[in-house]
Amino acid sequence: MASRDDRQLAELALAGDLDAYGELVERYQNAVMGVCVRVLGDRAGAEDAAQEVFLRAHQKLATFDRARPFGPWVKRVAVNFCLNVLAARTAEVELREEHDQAEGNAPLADPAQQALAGERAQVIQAAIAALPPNQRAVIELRHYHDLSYDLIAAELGRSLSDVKSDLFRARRALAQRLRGYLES
Amino acid sequence: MHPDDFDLDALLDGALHDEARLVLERHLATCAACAARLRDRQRLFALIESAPEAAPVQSLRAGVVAALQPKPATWPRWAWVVSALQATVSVALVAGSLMWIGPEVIDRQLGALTVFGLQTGWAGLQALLEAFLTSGQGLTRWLTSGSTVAPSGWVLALALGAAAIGLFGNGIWFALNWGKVRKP
Repeated sequence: MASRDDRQLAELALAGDLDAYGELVERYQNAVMGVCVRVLGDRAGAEDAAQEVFLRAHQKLATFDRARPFGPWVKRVAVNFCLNVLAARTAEVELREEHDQAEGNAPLADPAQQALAGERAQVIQAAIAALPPNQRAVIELRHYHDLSYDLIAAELGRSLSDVKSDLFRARRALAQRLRGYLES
Repeated sequence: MHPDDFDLDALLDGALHDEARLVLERHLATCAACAARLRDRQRLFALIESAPEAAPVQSLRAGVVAALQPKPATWPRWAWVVSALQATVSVALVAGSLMWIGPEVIDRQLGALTVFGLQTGWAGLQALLEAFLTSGQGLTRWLTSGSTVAPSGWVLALALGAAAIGLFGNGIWFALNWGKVRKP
């Protein structure tokens, strides 16, 4: 039996077919998890967040344009949800920023050493997770959702100059932390 | 003039106006050092964007579908309070009326029935029904005559009627919703 495409599944889900929606969850859970891990910066919270994202996406399914792919849409739902979570974590944000500033731009261990501890992908995720929340958010929206500076500013409710500044600082921090991979 | 990383990032992000982009591209075509720096930025961007999706520990599908299942009707907390108040008022109305009327009057009105001991069987029921009928006729006369003095018998009938409606209503509601209702 041919697998159903996203549009068919979304239409069935909208009609109340939970099994069809479950299939959409299965298809895009990794993508949504990726967003949650990158934006929230911690894996433990990311799984709970990912589940909540799919519940919210189901509530908003009527607003989904079925002529467009489901993946980017549900990832945007994930970004918005995670950004709201970040905004609510005010005290935690302050602590994390102090921690990150203390860490500074120290490069991670030599790639060869990191290969012993984990894969490159995990290193990159850890480097992104180590960024302050504002920088994490702009990196996510620019590099994983291909939004322009203006759209990022609108999405985050911040000024264009702040977005450019955070993006530049985030990239500089990542360049430092991933120097070993860039030079290898 | 050589561009800095900020300018190179803007070029890669597609954020430069046409004129600025053309000027920069002309420079990069003639400056090997700046071209090399652009390649470094491109490698950084590619490295950032190579961070993979993250798989959840276990599939989110089951949890999401379970959370979306329709739930049994829950009686809201206030409804429990109203129900309890209703039952209490009904009982209080009866007790208050009985005390106000006095056991001798009740005994006289209801014949075989007394406040502290009910006569069982058909005779007792007949007496009770007769008392209600008598009280109903008294109520009708009172309403039509415009008198403000209430016969004791119909006061008791009113109290018993209100209690019956209250308790009967509760009972019917629970019977209809048994199994569907759970306390919040």
